[in-house]
Amino acid sequence: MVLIVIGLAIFAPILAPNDPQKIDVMNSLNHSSREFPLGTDQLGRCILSRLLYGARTSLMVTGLVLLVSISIGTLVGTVAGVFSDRLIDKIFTALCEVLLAFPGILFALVIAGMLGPGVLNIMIAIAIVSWANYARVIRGLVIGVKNADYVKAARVAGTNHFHIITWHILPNIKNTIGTLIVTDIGSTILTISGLSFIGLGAQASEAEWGMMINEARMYITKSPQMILYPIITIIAVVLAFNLIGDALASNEELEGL
Amino acid sequence: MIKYISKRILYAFFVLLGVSLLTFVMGRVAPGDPVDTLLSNKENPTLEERLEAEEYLGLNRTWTVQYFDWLMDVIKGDFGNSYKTNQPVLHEFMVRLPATLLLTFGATIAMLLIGFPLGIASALKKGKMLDMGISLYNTIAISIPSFCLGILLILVFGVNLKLLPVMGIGGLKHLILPSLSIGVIAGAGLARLIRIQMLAVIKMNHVTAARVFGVSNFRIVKNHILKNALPPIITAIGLMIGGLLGGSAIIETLFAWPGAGSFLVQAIYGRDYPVIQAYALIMAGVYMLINIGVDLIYGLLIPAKWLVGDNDENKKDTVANRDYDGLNCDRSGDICTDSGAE
Repeated sequence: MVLIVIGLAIFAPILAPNDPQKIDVMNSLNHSSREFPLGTDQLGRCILSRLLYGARTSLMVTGLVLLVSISIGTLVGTVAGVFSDRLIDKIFTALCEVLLAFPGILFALVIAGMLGPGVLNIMIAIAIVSWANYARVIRGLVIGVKNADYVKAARVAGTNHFHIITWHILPNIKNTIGTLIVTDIGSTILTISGLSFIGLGAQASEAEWGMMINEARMYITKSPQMILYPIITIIAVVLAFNLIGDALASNEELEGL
Repeated sequence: MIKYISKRILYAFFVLLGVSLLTFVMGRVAPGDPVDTLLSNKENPTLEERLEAEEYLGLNRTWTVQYFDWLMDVIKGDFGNSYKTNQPVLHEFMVRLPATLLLTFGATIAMLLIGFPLGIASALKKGKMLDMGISLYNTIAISIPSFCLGILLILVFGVNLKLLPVMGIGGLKHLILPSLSIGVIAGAGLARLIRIQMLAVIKMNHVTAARVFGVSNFRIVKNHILKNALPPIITAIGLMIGGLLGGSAIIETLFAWPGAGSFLVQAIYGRDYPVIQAYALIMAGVYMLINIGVDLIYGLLIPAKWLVGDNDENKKDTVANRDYDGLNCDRSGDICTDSGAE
């Protein structure tokens, strides 16, 4: 299912029956037809094509956000974990505390609001909010691994910090980090679509699911199918990612035992 | 006990200070010139007028001076005037805050009413059909964005059945749909958390012992399982209410609910920075208050916590580690216990 979604997103230009931007006011708010499989929106744009292109936007933004926040989180978490008895750890931990003490969605909203609407800005906002959580979890993991005998042995043998981190610590926690990423894909898609829904994300011409739902809201009585398709798409995609995440997480639990 | 509470309040104060610094910096770094916004009703403002406006807004001084001036004003309760309406921001907020709190309250009630029965039922029937059904339902529910659920509810109850009002604020009826759109989803997250916590306790020896002694099922669940599983659940509920507060902005926009969240969204379009800053600080304050309140309830239920004080911090950390909006609550906790085991 997830592979299908990713495939659809990658091959959107080939698969889309119509140009997602093409405006055809004469054909607006149509029901399904041969030419427009899922009907058209208020400007006569093909809903199916917009959904396919929307998958590109959503997945790409989600991927980038997770990549950035997990990189920062790993960097900070590892540094803080390795030097867990020094001042630098205290500073990072305090910073994370302040960031985590505030509900994430509220914070993302405020930052996105300050920066103004736009895809890039909600990416920045979500990344600023989410890295602290990763940093904290990874710091815990690093401290757990750090006290293992083989790491102590490496230290006694005179291995430097960088080598210990890249050869002894990171390989040991990389599976858990992977699980973290996968389990968060779903909620990140939700946050992005939520922010887009209130108009902070993608702008009018771009195709994005949350945006499409927001536009379709005006026509909810006239053509409910226009709003239902993007809703079904979001739920199905997030559900698929969440199921995989759950499976991975319980797998991880078994490894731990 | 007093020591513990005052420690919490001190901690909250520092967090608020951090938030204030952050919002201040964000406001200065953010694109868009407040001078332009202030002068937007004038055509071709002269340079003198611009300088005057800068002076009026205090933008011609250094950042540190501006920050401390602003902070002092904020402590006095003066968040400045909205760039758009020129009304005191604090006043405009206080008019709208009750609506948001009402919505958050409604959503919290919905969340608790849904979360506890589902979580307890699926934990007790682990592995049975009921548990699988509820778990499947929970996974589906947390995959639905709140605004999508809101729209579906509007379609079913508002447009088709015409049972409930879908716009604005009014009687209890107006509260139902918005509360459900947030509460149902959060409730599913809560149910997942409760299930995991209860399963951890059910395995313990004292539960088996109670069962051997022939204690009734109801009493086992109430006294032995729930009571022990509760501490992390309560902490998580406190965190989740924060998510509800923030999430309400989206739902308020959808239902035209005249609360602080929809006010924020309008302010964002208007690049009305004082409003955004005030929103961040006031909401952070409200959130801290709610959490201190949750802590008090916690202390009443489990008085030992006040005696132990922050030695309990470890237990709290595992919960706080869980995702900020409480959606994936079960997962990072697992990972933490893993790392502890190593």
